[in-house]
Amino acid sequence: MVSLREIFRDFFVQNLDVVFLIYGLSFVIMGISILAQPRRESIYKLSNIIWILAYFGIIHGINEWLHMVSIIQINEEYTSRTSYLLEIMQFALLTISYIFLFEFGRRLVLLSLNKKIFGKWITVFLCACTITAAFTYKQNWNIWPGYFIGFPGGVLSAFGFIKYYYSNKVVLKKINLNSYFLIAAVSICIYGMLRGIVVPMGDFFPAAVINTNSFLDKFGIPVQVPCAVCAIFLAWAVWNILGIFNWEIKQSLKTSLEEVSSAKANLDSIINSITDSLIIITVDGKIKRANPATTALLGYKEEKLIDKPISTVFMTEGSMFSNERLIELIEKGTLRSYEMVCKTESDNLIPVIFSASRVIGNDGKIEGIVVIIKDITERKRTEEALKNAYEQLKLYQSHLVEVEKLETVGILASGVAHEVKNPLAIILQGIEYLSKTIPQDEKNISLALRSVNDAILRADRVIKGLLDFSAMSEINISQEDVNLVIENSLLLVKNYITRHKIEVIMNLRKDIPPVNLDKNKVEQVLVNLFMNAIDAMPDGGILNIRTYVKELTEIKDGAGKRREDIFRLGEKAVIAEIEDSGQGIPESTLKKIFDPFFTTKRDKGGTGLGLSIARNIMDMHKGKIKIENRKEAKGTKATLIFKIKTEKGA
Amino acid sequence: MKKKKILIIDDEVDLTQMIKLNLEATGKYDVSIENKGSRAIAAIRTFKPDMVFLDIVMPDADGANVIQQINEEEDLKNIPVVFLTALVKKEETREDSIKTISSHTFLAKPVSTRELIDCIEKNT
Repeated sequence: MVSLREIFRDFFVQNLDVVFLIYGLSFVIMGISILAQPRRESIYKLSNIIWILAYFGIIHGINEWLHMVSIIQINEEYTSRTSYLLEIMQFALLTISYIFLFEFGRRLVLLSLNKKIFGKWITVFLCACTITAAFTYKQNWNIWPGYFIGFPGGVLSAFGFIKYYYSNKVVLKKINLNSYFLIAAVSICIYGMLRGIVVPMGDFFPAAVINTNSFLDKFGIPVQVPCAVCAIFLAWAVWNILGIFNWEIKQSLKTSLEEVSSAKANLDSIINSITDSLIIITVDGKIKRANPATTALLGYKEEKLIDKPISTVFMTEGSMFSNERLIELIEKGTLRSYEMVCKTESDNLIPVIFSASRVIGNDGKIEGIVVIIKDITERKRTEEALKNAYEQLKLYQSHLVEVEKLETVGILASGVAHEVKNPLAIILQGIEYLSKTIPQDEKNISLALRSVNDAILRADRVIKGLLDFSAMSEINISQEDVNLVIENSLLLVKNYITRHKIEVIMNLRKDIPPVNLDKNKVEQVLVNLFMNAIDAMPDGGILNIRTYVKELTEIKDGAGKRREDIFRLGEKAVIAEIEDSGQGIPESTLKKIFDPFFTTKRDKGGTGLGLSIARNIMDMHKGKIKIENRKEAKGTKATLIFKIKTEKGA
Repeated sequence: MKKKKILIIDDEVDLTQMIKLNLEATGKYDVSIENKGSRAIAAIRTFKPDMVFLDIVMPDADGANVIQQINEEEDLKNIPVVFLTALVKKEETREDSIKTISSHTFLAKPVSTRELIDCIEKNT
């Protein structure tokens, strides 16, 4: 009865070619998979030498296939020449593959030991031994590479794997690779021993005792079978060990991804926290991104802005932000501090400073344009306010100059008055004396005396006016009803009004508050204005008089923010308006009407001091007088503005 | 009826003479003239007028000072004094004397005889 062992033996012996095929294939696959594995820039030093194992695998695999071929040849037509050629080729391949194996083992050990205990010379030496031995015996060549290089190579590699495993234990354990290193070590060790020691039979020790035939006899299977098993295990282990590089790649990819996403998050948070508005636009002028400052400024939600043309947001001096400007911008590269107007979602216009620069990608192409806009509403407002302040300052200055002029006139006036009044008094007294002593029946004498008397009175009027002018600082304030003051003043000119056929329309509001004023002085002002109005209507007309309370908003009403402004903006004041239906005042005259001694009625005895005094009186009341032509009809409108609440100490 | 004694203190010689002429022409007044402000008090003491017309601005004296002196003299302070001035402005006289001055009547130059007479009749 045939034993089970014999069946196995016969099966393997008969199918040895298949064993060689699988065996070779394992090695070749191992080699190719190593070479195919991308491992550049790996931090593991193994990556620098594993290529040697790959070449061992491929060359050794081919060598095993040659064995397979020789077996097939034995079975079929066998010539000693081809057999010899195959034998030499096998020897060469075997030697070279073992050199790779040994070299791999040597370098692997060196990686972990980091000491140069095995120099390259050892490989060269072993190689020399093999060739010497082979050429000395000229038989069973393939014994020697196994003895001299294959066996120590396998053991060295096994030692190297274990050593490498221990020195990189921490990392390898983490990725579950430790067992593969052990399997690789064991399988390569066994393989080295089997392949190196169990050689074809030779007529010398140890080949005579330990050889393929004795192995077959002792274990009942050809040595190639465990060798193939070892090869498969080795290939499998190495395949798995290669996973270390995959893991590494994944790891570095993960790290890079994390870096990228954290960089992006970082960039996002920077963009989002910029207080100026930042807009990123594409080359074709579409909005790609807008930060929260932008959305806050413009009122749009970011989603509503994305992919919209920039002209939805930007306007340049009335016209929409054109593509031409964009192109110009792209060509120039940057656009700095360009004043522009932004349109908000609710169609409000916001003045902005626009700065932009293109973003150039790594490939040198323009990727887009980064735009920063800064809201300059406040600045514009300040500029405007500054301009207004300047205008007012100019106005104030001219007023100041005028006041100074008036002061000079005042001083002069009082001097002149004093010097002139005494002679006038003498003349008057003289005339009076003469008119009593000279007989009155002489007609011409009395006419002459009366003329002199009139002349004195006229001269006195001028002087009085001048003195009024210079006596402005003294006012006698009391709380008065403006309406009452107006009515009193009107009484004073009643005759004059009737004589000139003037119709008076009064529109005095009862609800106006009392005002602190010098009744006599304000009456003087009003009489002056009434007289002017009546003079403007020689053929009769309508005199409109009205009073009311108004909130002051205009600078020309003397309202403003400056300390020197008479009224605060929004302050309530009592307004008195006197309108005539005359011809109005020519613009050129209007400018001069407050100038002292300026008069259009010199021939009628006008002194040109009336309105100057009126204005001085209003100034003393911290009020305002305005004279302008009526807008809605012919004629002139005089406006008096009185303070309701006087300042402390005023 | 006894004539009222009127003293005119003013540096304007011509004016005082004309006033004297006009007032005396009525036959009701005895007018004396003093053209030096500095001699005003002395003139009042010697003449003992019923009423004084006093100029404010004089080269050698200030009307305000004169009236102060008058007020300080027991025997003089009851004599009515009317200012006769070319100034309507009160503040031209010195600050500290405004009160003293402002309790008095002012006559602004050029003044007519009528005004003078009215004033005399009112104050005496």
